[in-house]
Amino acid sequence: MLRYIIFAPLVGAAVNWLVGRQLLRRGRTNEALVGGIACAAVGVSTVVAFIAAFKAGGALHLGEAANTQPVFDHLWTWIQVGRFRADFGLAMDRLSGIYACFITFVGLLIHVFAIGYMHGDKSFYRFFAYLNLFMFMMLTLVLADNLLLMFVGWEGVGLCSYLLIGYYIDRKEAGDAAKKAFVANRVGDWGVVLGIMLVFALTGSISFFDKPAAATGGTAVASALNTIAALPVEAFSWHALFAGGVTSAALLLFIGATGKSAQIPLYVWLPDAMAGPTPVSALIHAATMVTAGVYMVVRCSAIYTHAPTVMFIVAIIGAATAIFAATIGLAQNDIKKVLAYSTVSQLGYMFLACGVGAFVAAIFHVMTHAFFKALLFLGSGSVIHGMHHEQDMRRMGGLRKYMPVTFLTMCAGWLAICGIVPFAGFFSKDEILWRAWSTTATAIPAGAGKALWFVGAVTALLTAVYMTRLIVMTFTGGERFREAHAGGQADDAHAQAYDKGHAPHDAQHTSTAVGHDDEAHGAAHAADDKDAHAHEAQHGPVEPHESPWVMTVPLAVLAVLSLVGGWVGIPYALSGGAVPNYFERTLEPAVAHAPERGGAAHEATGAGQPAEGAEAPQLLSREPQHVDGASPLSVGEGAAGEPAHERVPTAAELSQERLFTGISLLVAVLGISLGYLAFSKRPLRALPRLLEEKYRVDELYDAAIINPIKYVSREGLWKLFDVGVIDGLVNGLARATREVGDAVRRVQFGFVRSYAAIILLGALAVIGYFVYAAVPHLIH
Amino acid sequence: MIPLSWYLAVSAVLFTIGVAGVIIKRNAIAMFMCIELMLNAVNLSLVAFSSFFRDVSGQLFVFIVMTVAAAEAAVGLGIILAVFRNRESLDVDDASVLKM
Repeated sequence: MLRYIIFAPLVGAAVNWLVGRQLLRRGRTNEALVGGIACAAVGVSTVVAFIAAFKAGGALHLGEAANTQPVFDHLWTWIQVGRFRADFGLAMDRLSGIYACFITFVGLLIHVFAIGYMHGDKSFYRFFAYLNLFMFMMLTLVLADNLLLMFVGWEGVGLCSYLLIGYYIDRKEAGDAAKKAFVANRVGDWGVVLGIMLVFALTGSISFFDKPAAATGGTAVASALNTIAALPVEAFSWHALFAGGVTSAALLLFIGATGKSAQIPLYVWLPDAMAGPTPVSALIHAATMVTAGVYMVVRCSAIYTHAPTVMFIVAIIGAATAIFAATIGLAQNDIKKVLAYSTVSQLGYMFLACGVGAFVAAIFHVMTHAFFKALLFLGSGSVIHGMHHEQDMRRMGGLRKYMPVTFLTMCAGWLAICGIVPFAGFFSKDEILWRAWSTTATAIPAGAGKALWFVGAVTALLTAVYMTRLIVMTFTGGERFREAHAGGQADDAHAQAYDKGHAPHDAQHTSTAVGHDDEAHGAAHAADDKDAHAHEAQHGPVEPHESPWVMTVPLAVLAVLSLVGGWVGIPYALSGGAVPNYFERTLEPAVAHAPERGGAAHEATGAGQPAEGAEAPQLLSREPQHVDGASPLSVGEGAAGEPAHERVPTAAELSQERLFTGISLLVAVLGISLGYLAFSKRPLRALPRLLEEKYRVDELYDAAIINPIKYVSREGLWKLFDVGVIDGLVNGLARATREVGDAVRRVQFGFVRSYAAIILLGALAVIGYFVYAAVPHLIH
Repeated sequence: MIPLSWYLAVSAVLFTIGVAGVIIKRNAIAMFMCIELMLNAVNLSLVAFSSFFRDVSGQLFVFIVMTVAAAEAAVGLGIILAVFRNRESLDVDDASVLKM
């Protein structure tokens, strides 16, 4: 059944890719058909994914028929060489079930939105073919039952990301950004490949799960993760990173995650990736693909819990990325760039959660982030659409009046990301911060958890400030788009690039704004004579307009999800047990638990050795009690589908957790008021230049890595090796041939009679040979 | 009965005259005739051997040679005519421009 989830979008992609152009050529109304095919394909995936997850015995079913075992769908054995075995097999456990559901659902909404956003684009069908292909790859990534198939999806989403960032093929910046994303991901993928090899070398398997023989139709497959879970936890030491054990494998896999999930040092591609169409930014660069790194880390939580050194590194990188990107986001003027840096920052939160052992909180934040960040991106897309492809916030302002639906929905996303109480982001972010503060994992040295919490809290403050700035600059205040060149240093080149890339697109918008000729009649010639109008509109005052319903409906749905999405994971401290923490209860059996410092976390010793090794890792005191003690993974033998019970925490713990919830709420409110005070009167307030220039990290990379590589390539590889050695060899061979030919050609006199004479001499020589040498007895 | 060696001697003399003619003469027609002379010298020896060995296949082979010679005469004269039309000359040494 799971195969339908992944193959439906593939079919959609194939149909649109092969016949989309023909369908589209029949007139503009057929955009609905092309978009409809794409949406239907994803719709099938969505329906099947939800049925597969929530039916009795499904991965996410929580009632009587709860099932902690993954559901398998074995298609075929892909590679079988000696001991190495890779299946093309799908599996849905609780983790991939959650992922599959939100990917398909958010993906579906974004597909619908894109029909409106891409209206009038000349290669409409190509866009939807890529988007569907992306869905196929992403679902393969999360539903794969082994590391290698996951890597297929991993590379596939990288490819689709490349194709979609560079979608506007006539714009150089888009092509450059696509290449940058691809190369940065390659750097990370190097780590993933080596990590997979190392996992195989250590365990003799690359499967995530124990696949029984019944599921494969052949021999049973052992789980690499369970094998690692049975190994002793490696000691916390820097040496272990290079020892070739589980710690090295975890580090290598994490290098891949930094590439895919845009963490320091490989985050640089994500902000540039905003050159793609906005629905792509929402789907790939906010909601789904960039969380693949988090998915992999949580999926391999058994590996990470056995590598405390890497856990610590993950936490540090996550926290550093979170605050680093948040400060940059503070000073950006492009509405999508702000959201891009915000995404990098939120991904940092997720890795921070993974690092402190709160894998459930990480996935919770992945899900809520998918809702509110997709909402914010789509909202910014709606703004950009309504503003005729203006992205600079300095030329916006006062849009609330013109785009009420967009404004209201964006507000939901804004409050969610800031962490205001009933919204989704509040619960997940608060959970991460609290878990960072209260962590007792051996991986985190005593006191470091507090420092991580502080960084996280400051990031939360910054997040609230820059998001408030975004809302204030865009939706309130003076209508700066009426001024010809608002914002002082408006960069015309930027606007012109958009002009060029979107000329037909803009024309179409203008005509919709003016005459509402969505009907087929008149649209074609309207596009022509409005073209000039569109260009003039770009620089003169523009009239913003609300987006059509295909765009506002997804916004509204996502806004509702941003509001209620967090209610599935209300912590005990807030609900007092009235509402169970569904999310934690669902996911808890699917992840491994980090070993802790001695028991009740009172002995803050530096020794940090796990008590019994992995055989019985001590559960975090706040964790629900684990009944199936043998293996920390759901796929262990004893996991019999019993829902874990939440343990009632002590009163002291409760009051502390409530205190911290209050603090994070306070931080969010403080951030919002700070942002409002700072930017409501002076939305164009100058910000530190260093932040606006993104700490000049791109320039640093250029100087430290790219230019040396270029120099060596040009001077060494090209001018020395290629021109000298390779070309020299080939040209030398050619010259030698010519010299020999020159020498030999003298034989050709050009006179027929001399040739005849030579033939005669030759004949005489042959005859002479036979007479005097070969038949010597004739002479005697 | 004339012995075989006499035929062969005549054949060898004719062949040598033909070879010498091809090498010495510059006129294309003359060279052509000398080639015919060589062919006929060979024909003569073939017939002589055929008679000597009482084997008719030698005479059959002569017919093949004559057929080929006729075909060669047609092609060769055609080439000579084409060269003459282009160069107003039958001197083969003039037709040496293909060499570098």
